Amino acid sequence: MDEQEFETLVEQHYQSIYAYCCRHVADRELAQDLTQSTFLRFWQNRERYRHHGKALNYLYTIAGNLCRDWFKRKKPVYLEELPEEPSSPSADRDTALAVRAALAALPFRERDVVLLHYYHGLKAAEIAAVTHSTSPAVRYRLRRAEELLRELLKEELG
Amino acid sequence: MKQTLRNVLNTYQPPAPEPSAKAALLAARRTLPGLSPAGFLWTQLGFIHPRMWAAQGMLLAALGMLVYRMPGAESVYLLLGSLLPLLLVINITDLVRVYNGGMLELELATRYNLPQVCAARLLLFGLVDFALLGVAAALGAAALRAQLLTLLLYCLTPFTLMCAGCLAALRLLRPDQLLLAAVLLTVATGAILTVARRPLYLPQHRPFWMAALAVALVLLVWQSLALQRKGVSSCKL
Repeated sequence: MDEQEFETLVEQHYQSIYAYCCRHVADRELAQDLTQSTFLRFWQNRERYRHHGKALNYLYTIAGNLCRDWFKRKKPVYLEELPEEPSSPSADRDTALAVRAALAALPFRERDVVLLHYYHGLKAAEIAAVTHSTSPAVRYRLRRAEELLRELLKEELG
Repeated sequence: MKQTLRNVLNTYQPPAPEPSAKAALLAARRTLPGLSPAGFLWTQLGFIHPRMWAAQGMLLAALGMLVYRMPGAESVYLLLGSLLPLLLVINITDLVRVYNGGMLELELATRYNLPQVCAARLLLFGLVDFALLGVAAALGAAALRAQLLTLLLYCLTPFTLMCAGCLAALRLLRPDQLLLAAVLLTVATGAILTVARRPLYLPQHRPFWMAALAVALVLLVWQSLALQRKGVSSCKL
């Protein structure tokens, strides 16, 4: 991969990786840092990337590892301390905040499968490849996460 | 139901990144020196405390002197077989220092993830230890005027078993338990060799040693693969 290809890759996938990191950590600045680290790590490991799968999925793997490393090191953050995020339309604002809180309440691995499946459209087999897991394990985690989300978002789901 | 959940989840859209973020990333990439695998190993070598190499050097020097003073071949075999695993204990001491000092984060300035850093560290330890083990076996062979292969067999077998045990400990135990586990393994290995030294070192029992070495190598490969797949207990992927 040369510099031009890398720039194209950044152009194509920056938004997806940033959104993935942002939904994990619920912080714009931090998500930008993690996204930057993801692409830089991809660049440094480009020799080992053999085009066996989509580059985007490889980026999700790196981003997931970085997010997990960050969660291991961080001190607990309370929901009240999370910054305001004004991007959702005001009608959906309360629901969006509830979703953000519900996602933050999920264990890391459950949140990871929810993000990859619901927001990034990956199938169980693809998530298994991204997270170095198995399809049955991913399906189990997804079911568990959905149960937790239904419980946490009872009001929003009506 | 799934569609309803999807609709509710989709109400949460993260804020757009700063417009300059993408340009900052590309600028950062330009300033980043590309590290080859050898370059990465070299940077990791720099993080290993010189005290560790000094301790291993002293152990080797002490063994080198002792092998010339041992009364017989059996004692030399026993000495090398039971004391060479201390090289691993010294390695573990350095790993524990890194974990306890929380220094892996500093060492991650190379932007590699924890399992990669651990794997590189173990690879460096392994390469140096096997070189030192070769030197010790050569010294023993010179002192006894015995075959180098025989000495290697007697040194390598307990050492490889210890390596497999230490890798299992890395995978399963907490960092603060590692050193104790390594010391206990060394003492147990030494005790077994001491108790069984009479029959063990008889020439007719060399096929047993070869079989034991083969088993030890299988265990080492198994533990290495398990470690690669599951990660070190304190820094899993």
